[in-house]
Amino acid sequence: MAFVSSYSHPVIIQTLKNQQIPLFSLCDITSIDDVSVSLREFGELIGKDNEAELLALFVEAAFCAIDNRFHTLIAKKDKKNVIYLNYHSHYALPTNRSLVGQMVARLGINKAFAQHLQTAGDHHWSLPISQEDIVHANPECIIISSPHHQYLMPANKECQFLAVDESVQETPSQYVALAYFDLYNALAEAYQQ
Amino acid sequence: MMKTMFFILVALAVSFGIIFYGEIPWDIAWEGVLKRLAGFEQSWNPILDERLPRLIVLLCSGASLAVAGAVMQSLFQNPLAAPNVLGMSVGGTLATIVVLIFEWHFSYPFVIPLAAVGGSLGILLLVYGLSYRQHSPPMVNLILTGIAISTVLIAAQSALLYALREHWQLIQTITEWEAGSSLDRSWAHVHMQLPLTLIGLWGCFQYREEINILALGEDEAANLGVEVTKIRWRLFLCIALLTGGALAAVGVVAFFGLVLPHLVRTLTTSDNRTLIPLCAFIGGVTLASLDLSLRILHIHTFTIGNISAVLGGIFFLVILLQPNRSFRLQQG
Repeated sequence: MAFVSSYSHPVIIQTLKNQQIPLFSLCDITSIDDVSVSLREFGELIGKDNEAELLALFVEAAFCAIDNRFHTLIAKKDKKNVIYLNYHSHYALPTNRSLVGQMVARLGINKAFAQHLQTAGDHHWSLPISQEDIVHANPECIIISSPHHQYLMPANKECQFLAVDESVQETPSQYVALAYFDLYNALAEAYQQ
Repeated sequence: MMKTMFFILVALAVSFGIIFYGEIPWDIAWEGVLKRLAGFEQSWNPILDERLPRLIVLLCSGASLAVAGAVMQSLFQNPLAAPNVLGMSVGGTLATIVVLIFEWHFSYPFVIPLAAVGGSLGILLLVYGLSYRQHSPPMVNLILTGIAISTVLIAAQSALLYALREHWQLIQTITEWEAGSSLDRSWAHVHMQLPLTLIGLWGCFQYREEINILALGEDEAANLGVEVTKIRWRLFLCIALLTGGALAAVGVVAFFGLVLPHLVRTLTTSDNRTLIPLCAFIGGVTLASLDLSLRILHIHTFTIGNISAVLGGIFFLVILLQPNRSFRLQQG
């Protein structure tokens, strides 16, 4: 059997069909819950229902555990203004259309840009922002997701600057639990300062 | 007189708009400017450290592309001529993409303008060298050689990007750069571009009269005492500097060099003594106003490169579909 996606090349799909290989398509992963749904579907198709169920439950349990730890962390502390940025050729905010944008919103990050994100709607995966936008947000901590974070220097030189692994953050798989854990660790470091 | 006043008012409005429009209220930003100028604080200021450099970069880029296009159209006596005819834009783009692939720009910030200008100049030398081996008229040779070299470079660029398609972060960086943007332009970009723009514009201004004569044809220009080969070479060098500088500062802004000279000719004159300074002025203001419009309307889907290509294409179609159209490249 072969698994294809909605954006697979039609020529490849036709070639597989011509070989009479059964084709299956998993749902597009547009939310954190879709990761668990896809894992369960995949397990059912390859005959490993129990293992897939276990993995999906692990991902869900990991999120719950991280949420509990996060709420315990901030219970007796003042809320910090933390922002999360991507960087390729310029800084950008992940929107709710992306998995990382949903995780960031779940942890209460990027609240300073709520108006920007609301204006942008669900049409974009990320929203370009300028240095001025970052300074205006007045963050106490900036979490940057970029392989080149060591070269980056936003204008807010006084605020704390933490990095997370972009390749983990952007993965639409069970590693999303690891991405969420990386975000929690960055927040924990920010709150310890 | 009215037209002049109108252009000046628009230029002032756009400049003030870019300086005073932003997330941080202008009164707070202006207070920061005054404190910084008085030496009371050295902290980052949105007007001095972002909006003003962005304005300068946009004015320089618009002026560079418009003047480069106007000069190319006069030299080649062809309304479709633009900086990409000789492959200079593509050469600069390919060189910059190589820099982005190897991530040299993080260690050496000035390698991008060096690559953009070096790529433009390198291709110019290659096109010149290959075209002079032929026995046909030099301008025809230059165009044909330039198109051939451009085709090869575009194919090479496409092959490179296809080979690197698994590296999605790199592809995203290149795509964002190629789209053309004024986001996060700083004084480093001004330092990269301004010298190139000033030298390129100065060279084009110096030879405005000769460009008028060259627009009549090379034989006529030679008969009138113009040192055709020398001046043409110097003008191409200026165009390479202007094109490379704009590429380095804002990325790829398509159609601007092709369409804006026609827009200015439609509004004013074909006399290069006036056309070239006007192209510099109107080109800069037009690009700045496009950027300001995108910011005010919060349009994030498109960049100035996308918008200029779409609007430029539409404008060109309108000109082509006019019943009594004529492309006046010469005075009178």
